[in-house]
Formats: sequence, C-alpha cells, structure tokens
Amino acid sequence: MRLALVVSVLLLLISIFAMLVTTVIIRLVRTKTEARSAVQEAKLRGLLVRFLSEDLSLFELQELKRIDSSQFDEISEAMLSKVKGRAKDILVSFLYSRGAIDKAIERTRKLGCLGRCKAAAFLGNVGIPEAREPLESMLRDRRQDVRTLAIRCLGQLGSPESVPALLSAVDDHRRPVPFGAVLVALMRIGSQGKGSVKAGLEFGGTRCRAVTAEILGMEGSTEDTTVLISLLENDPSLEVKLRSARALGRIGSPKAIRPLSECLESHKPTALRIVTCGALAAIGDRDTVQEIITLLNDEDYQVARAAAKAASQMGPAGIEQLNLIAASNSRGAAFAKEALARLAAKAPSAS
Amino acid sequence: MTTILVADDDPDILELVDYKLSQSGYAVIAVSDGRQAIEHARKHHPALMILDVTMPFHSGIEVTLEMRTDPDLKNTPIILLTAKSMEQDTERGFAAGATDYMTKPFSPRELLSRVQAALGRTV
Repeated sequence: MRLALVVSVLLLLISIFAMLVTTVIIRLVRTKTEARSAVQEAKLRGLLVRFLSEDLSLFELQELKRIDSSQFDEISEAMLSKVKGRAKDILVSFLYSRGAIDKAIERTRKLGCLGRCKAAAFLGNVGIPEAREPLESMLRDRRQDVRTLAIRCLGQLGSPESVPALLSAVDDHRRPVPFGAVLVALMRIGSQGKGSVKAGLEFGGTRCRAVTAEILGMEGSTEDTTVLISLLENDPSLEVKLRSARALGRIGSPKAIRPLSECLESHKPTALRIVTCGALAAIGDRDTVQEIITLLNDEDYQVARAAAKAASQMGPAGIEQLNLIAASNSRGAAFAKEALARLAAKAPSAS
Repeated sequence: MTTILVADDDPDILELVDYKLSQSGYAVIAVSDGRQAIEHARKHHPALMILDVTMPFHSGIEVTLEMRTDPDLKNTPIILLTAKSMEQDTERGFAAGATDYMTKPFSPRELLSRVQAALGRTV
C-alpha cells in the first residue's frame, strides 16, 4: 500500500517535471524562431528599401534567392500602402512580376472572409485598373463587412467606371451596404464620375437617388440646381426630398429659394420642413428671414425650434428678428431665447 | 556632412527614409519615438528634422513645440510626415512651428526634394 503511494507520487513528480521541460523547450524554440524571423524580416526590408530607392534593379532583386518567401510578399504588400509616386509604381511592377496581383484576384473568391478582406485591401492599394472587376464582384459578397471594404477600395481606386456598380450596390436590399461608405467612395472618385452618378437618377431606386442628391450637393455646382429642384418637387421618396433640400442649401443658388419655401407649408412632412429651414439658412437670403421667423409660432414645436436655429444663422437680420420675438409674449419666445443663448455660447468671449 | 534626424514608429517608413537620405549624402539619425527625437536633437543639433505626428511618448507636434522653445534648435527646419491629412491637422502642424507638412502615403523622391528645399532656405 505504502509502496504504491510512493510510486504514484514519484510518477506525478516525473510528469510535472516533464511538462516543465517541454514548456521551456517550446518557449526556447519559439523565441529562437521569432528572433530568426525578425532578422530575416530586417534583411528583406533592407532589400526592398534598396529596390524602392532604385539602388537595386528588378532583375537583381529577382536573382536573389532570399526573396522566394511569402514573408517578402507580406513586407512588400505592407509597404504598398505607405508609398506613392515612382516608389509605388516600381513596387506594383515588382508585385506583378511575382504574380501577387493574380493571386489576390484569386483570393477574392476564397471561402475565408479574412482572406477575401486582405485581398480586397491589397487590390485597393495596388490601384491598377485590373483590380476594378474583382472588387466590383465583391460588392455581391455574402458578408457585409467584405462588401463594405470592397466599396472603400473602389473609392481608393477612383475609377469612374465603377460608379454604376456602386449605385447598384446601394440599392441592393438583399445585400445591404452602408450608405455613408458608398457616399465616401463616390466622393473620392470625384467629378469624373459625375455623369454616371447623374445617370443613376434614371435607373436607380430610392437609395440610389438619395445618394445622387447628396453627392450633387457636396460637389456644390450651381448647374445641378435644376435637377435637385426636380427631385425635391417630384420624387415620391421623403428621404430623397430631404437630401435634395439639404443639397440645395449647400449649393446656395437663389433659384432654389421658391421651391424650398413651398416645402415649409404646414401640410408638408415635419422632417422636410425642418431640413428646409436649415437649407434656407444656408442660402442666407435676407428676404426669407421673415418667412422663417413666422415659423417660430408654428404648431409643430420641432419646426418652430428649427426655424429659430435657422434664423440665428442668417446674420444680423435674423438675430434682430429673434430678439424681437424673444422680448414678446408669443409662443416662439422660448425658441428664440434658446437660439440666441446657443449663439452667445458659440461666440468667442470678448476679453 | 549635413545631419538629418528622422523619427517614425513605423520601421518600414523609418528605414525607407533613412536609406533614401543616406543615399543622397546626408547623415541620418533614425529614432522611433518622440522622446528619443528630443534627446537626439538636443545632443546632435541636426540641420533638419523629419517627424511623424503619431508616435509613442511625444507626438510630432509636441516635439515641434519643444524644439521651438529651445534657443539652440528653434530655427531647425521641421518636416512633419504623417497619415493625418485633414485641413485642421495641417493647420495644427504649421501652427506648432513646422516648416513643411507631408502626408502618407508619401513619395520618397518628393520628400528628398522637400528636404533639399527646406535646407536651401536655411542656408
């Protein structure tokens, strides 16, 4: 009995000792591997830096056996997002020669989500026309995060040819994408894609028309005032009307004042009346001050509040009217006081 | 030999800038954080400094402000090299006393031209 106990304890001690030894060995091996990997990475980075500084030709680089490692591809891909100009051009041509771009295109169809995301980010950074089609296909990916990343990368690529695909993506109800991501991508593509963006008004659904209105407003060109007025007056969607009103305010053309003023009528939706107050304030026409001030006594307190805020943004004429209302006993006095207080809080203190 | 101090916590960028400037005949002191940047600047009095904005210990803006209060270094040209590309970031950089502002991704050739221009202005 006693002997059995001693043997058990001994066995236990031996097992603990064996485990400790194994752990130490694993740690040592890991540390050594990491150190070797860091040394190798530093060497590879040095080679890449020489290549990017045009101190080493593509031929010389390809001759080196050391670069036949996936680690070198990883370092090159990481460097891609950090440089531009000639350095980026030579890096892209190098990655091309190694088949890295074809491999990334292939990876966009792989099962793993992380792999697809990495491939999309890489293609966006490469910025070559061949990247457009695979990225556009990713807009139909089953995962929303992959679709969102593809949108961002298409914006980075900046090709006006991808505008129709982006507009279709924003309308796809089965595979939704963030509205803001599409907006930013279209902004990055810029005025070159404007023709295609406007064409979206013909074929697009509600979100497509809304994004178009937003983009036209951000670009701020007065030549788009007519299109936006037409959307404001005739579009069946409230969201499109709201974004059109805001866009007209951003553009600031006096042509938009009459159609916007019509949106202030009491039977119009509250949201539209609120946004219109802001739009008219942004245009800042003195003749609309009185119209806005009248709304301070509106039955809808949200509209009255928005009108007070709008008046406070319309310069001395608006502020003067607000002071008169604030001093009165009318329903709008509280809103006028609130807007004036907010304005005073924003103003730099006189010292 | 003209000495340039480069501070960036990204080893890829640090090495690329270091190599590009060394290749063009400058002596480069490469450091990876703001604290080392201040220490080496006081010790070696470089002719120019290239600073990343987001760095450990002290940001590029803080280092710039520090340099501008140091009588020996207040006139040293400083180029901020950063991923922060908003208008207010640029304004903040210049307000702190930076000579030039470059955004990442950057062109090594353009950086070299800006270095030469900044050094030319101080001659």
